[in-house]
Amino acid sequence: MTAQILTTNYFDDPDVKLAQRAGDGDLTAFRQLYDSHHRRVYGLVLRLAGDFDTANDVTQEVFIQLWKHLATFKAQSKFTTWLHTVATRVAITELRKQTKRLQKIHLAGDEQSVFEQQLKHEDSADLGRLDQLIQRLPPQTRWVFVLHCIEGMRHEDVAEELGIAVGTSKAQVHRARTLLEEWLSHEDTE
Amino acid sequence: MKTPNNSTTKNAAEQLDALLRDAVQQGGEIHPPKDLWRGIEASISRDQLRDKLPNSKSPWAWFSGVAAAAFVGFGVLMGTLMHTPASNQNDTLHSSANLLAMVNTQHQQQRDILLANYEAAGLTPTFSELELELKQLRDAAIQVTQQLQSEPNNAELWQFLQWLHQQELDLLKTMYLQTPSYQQI
Repeated sequence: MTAQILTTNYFDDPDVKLAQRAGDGDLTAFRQLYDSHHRRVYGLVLRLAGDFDTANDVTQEVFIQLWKHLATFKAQSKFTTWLHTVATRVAITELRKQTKRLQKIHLAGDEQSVFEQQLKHEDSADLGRLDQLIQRLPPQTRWVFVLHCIEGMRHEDVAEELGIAVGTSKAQVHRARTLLEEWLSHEDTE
Repeated sequence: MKTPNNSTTKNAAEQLDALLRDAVQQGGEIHPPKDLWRGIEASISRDQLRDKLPNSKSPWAWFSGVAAAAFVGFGVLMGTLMHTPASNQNDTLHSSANLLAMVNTQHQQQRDILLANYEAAGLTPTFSELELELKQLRDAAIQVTQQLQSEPNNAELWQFLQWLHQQELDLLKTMYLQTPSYQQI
């Protein structure tokens, strides 16, 4: 019964047909998929990245990689589920690369990191309260918090995706909550 | 500024839970501040172009091959011109004029194929400041062609014409394939 329902749902999923057409090289179909899902992908990527410029680049990279790998989508799951997995994976890979680059820059001089922080805070004016606070979290803490608390991924899946232990994932969520609650308390008492 | 106490901490935890509930209910959608599709489309088109060109792994190797073949052609011509008896000079001049026309036509065909492939892939030239350089190269090629009509034995001129043609193709490559970065877009 469950299998029947699932099969029916995937069959009815309009994205599956578009994904298959796009997988055959139909750019118009791919544009339709982009139009339907880019805001969702951008939301995920921006929260993971913590700043707009990086989110813009990484979102583009997500869709470029998606186009390259559409042929591997076998419609065994909902398109949005598959999209979420690809987006998370590409985003984390890209952000890891960027974090390494930034660490090298920071080693060269702390003035750069101060400048980056200023830029981030200028950009964050357009974001909601939670997203502004999330931006201030350290990268790995932010990734775990976003994937578990907002995206609803299980600790086991978060740990696998990020290549960390399940216990580390739980500890990072605890750390994130502690920091966010502390910042919220300060906002209220200021 | 007051120091947070137990009640504010509890309040902060509740606030955080409420903010999280809102974020989840909103479906996590955020509208990007600018159009990201153009950069995606440009990247896809670039990849498609690479696949369509005759040598998909290195499209420019194809043009290098053609250029190398042309170079061999020049060598054969020069050898012929240098060792031709005076009595056959008119025939040789006629042959060199034909070869000159053929070389220029072949270059024009290469250029047309290149531009057609770029247009098919939806690419447009990015750096308009390079157009002046392109014009200078084309003008120079016309001048060298005219000079070769009166000096068909001048090996240096033949090599210079070949160099000008290759420079033009390389410049077109730069103008079309060096698309702006995501941020520039």
